Amino acid sequence: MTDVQTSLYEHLFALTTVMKQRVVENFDGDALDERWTTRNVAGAGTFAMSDNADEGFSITSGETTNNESRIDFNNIRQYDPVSSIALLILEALSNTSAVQYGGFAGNTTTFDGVEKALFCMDSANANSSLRTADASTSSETSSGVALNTNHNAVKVECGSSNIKLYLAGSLLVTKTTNRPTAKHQPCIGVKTTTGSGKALRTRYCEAYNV
Amino acid sequence: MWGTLLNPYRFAAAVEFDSLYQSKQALTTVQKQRFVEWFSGTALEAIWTTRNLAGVNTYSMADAVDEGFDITTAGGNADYAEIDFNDFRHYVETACICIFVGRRVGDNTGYFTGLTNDTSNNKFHTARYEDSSLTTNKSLGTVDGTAYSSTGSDVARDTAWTGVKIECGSANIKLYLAGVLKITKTTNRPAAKLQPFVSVFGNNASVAQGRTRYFEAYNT
Repeated sequence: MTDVQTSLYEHLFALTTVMKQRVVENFDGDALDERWTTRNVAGAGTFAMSDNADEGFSITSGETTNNESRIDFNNIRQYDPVSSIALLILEALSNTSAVQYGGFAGNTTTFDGVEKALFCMDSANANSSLRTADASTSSETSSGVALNTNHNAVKVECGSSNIKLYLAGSLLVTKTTNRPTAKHQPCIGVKTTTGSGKALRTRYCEAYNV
Repeated sequence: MWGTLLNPYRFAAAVEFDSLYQSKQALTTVQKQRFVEWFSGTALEAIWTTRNLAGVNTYSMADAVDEGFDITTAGGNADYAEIDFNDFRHYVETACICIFVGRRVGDNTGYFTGLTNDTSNNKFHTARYEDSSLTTNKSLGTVDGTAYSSTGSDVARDTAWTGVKIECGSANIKLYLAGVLKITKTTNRPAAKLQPFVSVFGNNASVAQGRTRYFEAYNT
């Protein structure tokens, strides 16, 4: 029995299922797709496709402490905070004096603001983490996996009773506190915590409602 | 013993493919034209052209869960708004399929989506799904070089998200709703190359609105 399907739709669902919102981004080519908005939350970062094998798209935060830059959907928030999944490939080019992150955000504010569900690589910690925030409070839980400069395969799963973080397919965090309540959008970014600009690269993002 | 006999296919491993290409066809097959649109994010992809066939209408990504791309007319009677490929017509009228997820948002609206050769009001050479506040049931409308006709399904019009498949073959046009074949139509079939389109028509002097959150088309 073959699993070849003539349509992408039928690879994901039978035609009897009405597909919910979904997006797939490959971060390839000579420019960032128009679905994304580049955003300097603070300072003046840079955004560019990377001319290197397997290196996708690069975000570099500004040169000053607390400068932060990210890409998002400009508050076109089509994803359900209690029933959505984000899959990302994220690479921190440095584990010093920075926070690199990716996942879902309910607004266009800083990564540790309200309404978030983000995988974070924060140089203040030994390990990466799942950071979540409801309408008032943000908190994080360690993944137990040391910070690195590898390409990380990340899955953030927002459910009705918890938020889960998977790395390379392994469930590492199940978090029930401070969960987002508002509709959200994919979000990928980097913050300078001290000194010079820091870079993040991404080569894949897929988000969908379940 | 028989109670514990297992279906030998139950535990077949899922097939994995090295490429998206190979998930659609073997490498021995030369892939034909194909595209996928997710209608998600900041703005409509540049592959689409917005087109005011009548009225000055609005086109925007919807800031709402699961709501994709929004087309809203200006509110005049017979206002007509469309997105299409600006006459880049890559799809073969006798051998192509489109699959999309869309909906009419409210009353006073015709939501017409599918494949067309013609970006004018005439819509010659078209195969389209129709959900209109003026008709009882969802239907398949087709146009050849001169005439239009429509065949109704047994599914009542509604404002719910609907999964639609239109299959343009050499002898007929088929409409599937939620995976079920509803209409096989042989009359007034398009006879010229096609492009995807999504449109909203104002049935009277009120705002008309339609949304779409997925579109895939390919030659077969």
